[in-house]
Amino acid sequence: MKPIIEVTDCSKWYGQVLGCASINWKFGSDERTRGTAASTGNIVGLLGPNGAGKSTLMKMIVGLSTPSRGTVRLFGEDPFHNPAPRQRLGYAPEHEKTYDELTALELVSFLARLSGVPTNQAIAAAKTALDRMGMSEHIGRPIKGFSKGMRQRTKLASAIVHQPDLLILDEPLTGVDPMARIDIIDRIKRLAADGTSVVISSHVLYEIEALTTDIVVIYRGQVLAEGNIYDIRRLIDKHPHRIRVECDRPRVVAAAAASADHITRIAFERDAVVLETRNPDACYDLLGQTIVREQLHVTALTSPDNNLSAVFDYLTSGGAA
Amino acid sequence: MNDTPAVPRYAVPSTARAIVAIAALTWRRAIRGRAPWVTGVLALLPLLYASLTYRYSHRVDAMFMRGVFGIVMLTLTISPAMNVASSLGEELEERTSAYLWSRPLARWTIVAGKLVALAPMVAFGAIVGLVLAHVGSDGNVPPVQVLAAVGIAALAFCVAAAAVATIAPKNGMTLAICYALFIDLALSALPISLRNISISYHASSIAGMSVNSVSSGLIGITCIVTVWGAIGLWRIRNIE
Amino acid sequence: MSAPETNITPTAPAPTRSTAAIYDLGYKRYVGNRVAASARWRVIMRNQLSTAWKGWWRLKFPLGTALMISLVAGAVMYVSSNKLFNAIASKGMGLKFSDGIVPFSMTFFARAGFIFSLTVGASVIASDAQSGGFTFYFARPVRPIDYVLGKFAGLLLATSLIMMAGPLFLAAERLGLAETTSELIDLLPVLGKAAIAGLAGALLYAALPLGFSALANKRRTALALWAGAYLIAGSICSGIGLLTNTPLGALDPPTAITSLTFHLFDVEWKGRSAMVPMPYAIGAILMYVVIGLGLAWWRVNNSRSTGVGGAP
Repeated sequence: MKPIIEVTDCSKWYGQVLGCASINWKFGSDERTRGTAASTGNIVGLLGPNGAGKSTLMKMIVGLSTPSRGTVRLFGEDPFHNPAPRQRLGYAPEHEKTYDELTALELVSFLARLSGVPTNQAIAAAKTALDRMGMSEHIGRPIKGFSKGMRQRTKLASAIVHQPDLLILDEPLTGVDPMARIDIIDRIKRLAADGTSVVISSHVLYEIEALTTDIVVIYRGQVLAEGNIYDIRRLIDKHPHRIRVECDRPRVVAAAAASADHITRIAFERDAVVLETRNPDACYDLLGQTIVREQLHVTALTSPDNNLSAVFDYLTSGGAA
Repeated sequence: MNDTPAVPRYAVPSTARAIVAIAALTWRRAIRGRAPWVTGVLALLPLLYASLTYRYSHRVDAMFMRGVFGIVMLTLTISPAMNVASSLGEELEERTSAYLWSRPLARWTIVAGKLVALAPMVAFGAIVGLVLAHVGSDGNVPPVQVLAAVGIAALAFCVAAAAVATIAPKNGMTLAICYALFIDLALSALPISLRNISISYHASSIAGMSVNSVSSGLIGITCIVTVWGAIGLWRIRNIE
Repeated sequence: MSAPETNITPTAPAPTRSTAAIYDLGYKRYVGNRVAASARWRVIMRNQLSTAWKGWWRLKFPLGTALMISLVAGAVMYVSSNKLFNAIASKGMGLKFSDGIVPFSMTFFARAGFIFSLTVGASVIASDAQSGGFTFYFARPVRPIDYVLGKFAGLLLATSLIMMAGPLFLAAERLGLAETTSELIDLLPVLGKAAIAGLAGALLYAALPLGFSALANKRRTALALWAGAYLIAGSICSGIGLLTNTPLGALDPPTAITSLTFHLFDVEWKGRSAMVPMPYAIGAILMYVVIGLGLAWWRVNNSRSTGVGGAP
């Protein structure tokens, strides 16, 4: 199975500055037809702090720069020297600057023509793309008068206008207000549900969390972790999982947990007990048995560190085992 | 799941189509900016010079012709830099080129598209400037040979300006002016063989205003354009 | 009005003195000394100088050009001082070739000054307008006059490095090549003349491009306007002046500067443009400085009063 993106031992230097270091990463499978893989599993989030190397990696994938060492393949071909694979690619760069003299419709239809959309279909394709991004009321306005959110939507429209198989979105939610952010996230999800593979970068954890559970954590130019967030969390052994049980008799839960060897810490909060365990599955089994046996009235059972923020903190603080 | 690879919805655009599309975009952006107006003002300056000179000298001799030709060549130190070098430099500096290069087109089409859109405008401005200068002063249209020389020089300066902009995008306009003014024009005035690398010198040969023949002027200017074009294409191929 | 008295009966023992402390490391308002409002232009001047110094093509390129001119002219002066060269005319008096190098070099320093105006000077205000930089200035207690003075002073210092340092170096070299002490004393005024000529050039090449940079909201338009006015309008003025034998050439900035310099050094020169009488040259330089600063102030003041946003 040929991956859509294949990055092999890829490094990039900007003079003395290291952009990426020995990245190996594969994403997606080219052996499918659009529309058959209807799930949000098509989205992968590139996660990392500012300057981590996300944009550098994306530029190499898109063909805007070449790796100093290693290879990048897009749909099996070198994207820098070969325009053909870029035919199936939609890219929204990070920077805000566009051709401000043009209207949204002019920009998107022009980029559609450059992607091979026939001239007589370009306007219609641009209108459809802008409509999908909620911009249908502003298609005739010059971009220079647009807000940041409108610019982001226009960029996204220009990325999807030729119906690409792969979308690469570099920080598409930067500078967007919360309502628009929710809307854009929803539209990206719908694109993925329609079968488009999406690679999206962000340094804002909850943005990625709202889109996907598949992540690639990039830190200081290297891939620190990749895969499903919960699987990654499971692999972090240094940080025991925390499970918070809110019930009518937290001491009973604590007493039951105290005898288990996988429990590393027990702490009490108001009407709750927090357990730390190295074996979450065993801990959940234990809790289930205890609750049934003791007929506890449980009001909440949560895992406070089973989210992206905690995983990211553990990974970047060098806590990953 | 179907095992056949996905095929793109649309075909890869031909190189000619990509160049035309980029040229159309460049042209549309240019006419919405102030560059054509400034080019127009520059085209009027030779008229000012010619009419004032004619008013005081009342002579249309070789010196007058050379003077007007020289002023037009002086406008060509600015106009290609302002239109071509600045447009290409801004595209690279502001990274709007990312929108183009993430599409299925060869990198050099961006240079070709800009030249297709802007070089004729520059050449047209220079030729109109020359015609206006003569018609507005002595009432005669200058010889076709001189008009062709100005047009060819304008196109050659545009190629050089584009190449300079690929070398130093941020200061492309400034460096293109400096090159045209302090190297090209300065060399053309020197009685040394080094002047053969000057576009202005060969332009004056084509116009019949130097000791060289028209054909040597054409060959010389072709060589210079080829070198600058190669530099520009090499740079644009590797620029990131 | 006095505060009402309250009686509180303690119900619990007073807490013992704690050794713990919480330090707020967050934002604190600056309470130290502030630069006086009248001196804020200096901050803008320093910023202008430091931004001009960044990169190779802005100040370093024209400065390198000026350095090359100085070195070449210095070498020529050294070689020519060994009496291999004949005298050239100076109002009928015999003058060694080397004495003419200082004023003659000004025509080249003017070119270096023009390059600096292209790389930095003629885009200062247009760049701020294009990038929305006015907001950063006028959201603070900075007046238009502070902005213009700061930018002008920064440009003037940078231009002085290009147009004043070279002639002064050459003048000093000329003094060093004096064969006798009495010749050295006779030549001392050369230093002052070089300084005056350089200063006049620096003033002109700092103020006028600054004024042109105020004429457009886009960097490239401002540059084109400046280059067009300097090269073509200037050439037309000097050409017509030469043809009509009138001081119209004074309107050509390099002609004004070189004329002033040649008059100061008492040297006759007839190149592509005729020398203009000294009062006209001084008048043109002063006029251009006033026009340049006036345009800059008008544009900045106008921008501030109509909103401090970026390019419209």
